Amino acid sequence: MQNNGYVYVASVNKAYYNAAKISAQSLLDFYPEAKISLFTHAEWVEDSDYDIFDQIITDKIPNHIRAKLWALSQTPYDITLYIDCDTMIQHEDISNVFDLIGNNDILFTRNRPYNAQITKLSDTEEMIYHCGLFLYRNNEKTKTLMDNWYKGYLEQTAPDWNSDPYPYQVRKWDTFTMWKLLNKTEHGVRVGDFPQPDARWNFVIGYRPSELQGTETVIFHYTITVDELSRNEIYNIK
Amino acid sequence: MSDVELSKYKNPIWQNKDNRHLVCEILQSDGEYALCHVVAGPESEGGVNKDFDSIIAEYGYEELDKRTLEHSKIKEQRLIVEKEEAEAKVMRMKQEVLFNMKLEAFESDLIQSSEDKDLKKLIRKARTPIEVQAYATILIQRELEKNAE
Repeated sequence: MQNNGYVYVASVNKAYYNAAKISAQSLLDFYPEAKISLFTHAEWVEDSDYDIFDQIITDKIPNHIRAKLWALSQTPYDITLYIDCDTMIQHEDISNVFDLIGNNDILFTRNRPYNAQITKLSDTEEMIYHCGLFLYRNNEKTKTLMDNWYKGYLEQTAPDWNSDPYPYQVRKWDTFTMWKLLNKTEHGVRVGDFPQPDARWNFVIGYRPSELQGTETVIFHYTITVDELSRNEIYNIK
Repeated sequence: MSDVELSKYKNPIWQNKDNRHLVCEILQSDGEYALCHVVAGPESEGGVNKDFDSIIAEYGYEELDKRTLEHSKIKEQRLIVEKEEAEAKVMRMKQEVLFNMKLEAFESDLIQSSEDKDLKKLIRKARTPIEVQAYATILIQRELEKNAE
């Protein structure tokens, strides 16, 4: 019997932790048996969080804006749906998401260039995958990919990193790190797309309703406002 | 100082060909170009405008027609883009309002602690603010009635 589940990662700003709880509660409304894990800082965890999450992993969580990349290879599940904290589940189909993986190791939804800050890298290269939600199998290849994702992102954000031949603005995007890994390395990971209309699995605020092709949104993806972030606690390593 | 002599007229297009009305950038005495309207009036009235005559001499009717067509195509394209951007902005705002209403609904203790999963799901699935409002009201009312019993 496969052990499949959902993973949230909340670090740096408590707004992400609060958002993760709200999202996980919405997930439980549609799928009460869902197994959900949260990677976060021990100091933020409240007793009542265990009513929502099956596992709360706090050991060695980096206080890093992309702590998710660190956490991904440590998923306790065979198949994992990684979900950004700033989401809300809106449909029962969330319980069937693991069936979508097929023979793939990882499934992504596609970026919508009209709703993204940057997708085009050159005339022939484009960051097509949205990295705020994806489904992946727990095997050596994907674990290596995830660990390299974190390593690559740390390199990319180091002061001496050279973006050439790509625009410098890609530096802050983990989407670029993943694009590079998928397109410029021998990763051996079988990559696939969520079935059409993929937007229902990751309906990002700003998407055109027509993207749903008459179906219902399963996961709505918003953005935590700067105002909300500024009102919340910033994690300090004690 | 540059040795290149600047052209007196730049980017002329028809504003109204029947009225022999052009829009054009004209070099000023301070070396800057200013957007100007050059009107000679209908040909039948025999009006004379030196700038108009100079522009016609330099560019010719055919070239002006071509430039005017290109300009209107660009303008049309820009209007489409602007309209799309405005629609996207409105759509995003609507999505934000709807989502914030859902968040606020679930901040209510009565809704949050309710065990009525069906109504909670309806609030989460709601497609308009009025649906959020309606389902939230029904849920709160049911919870209040339950608490009163």
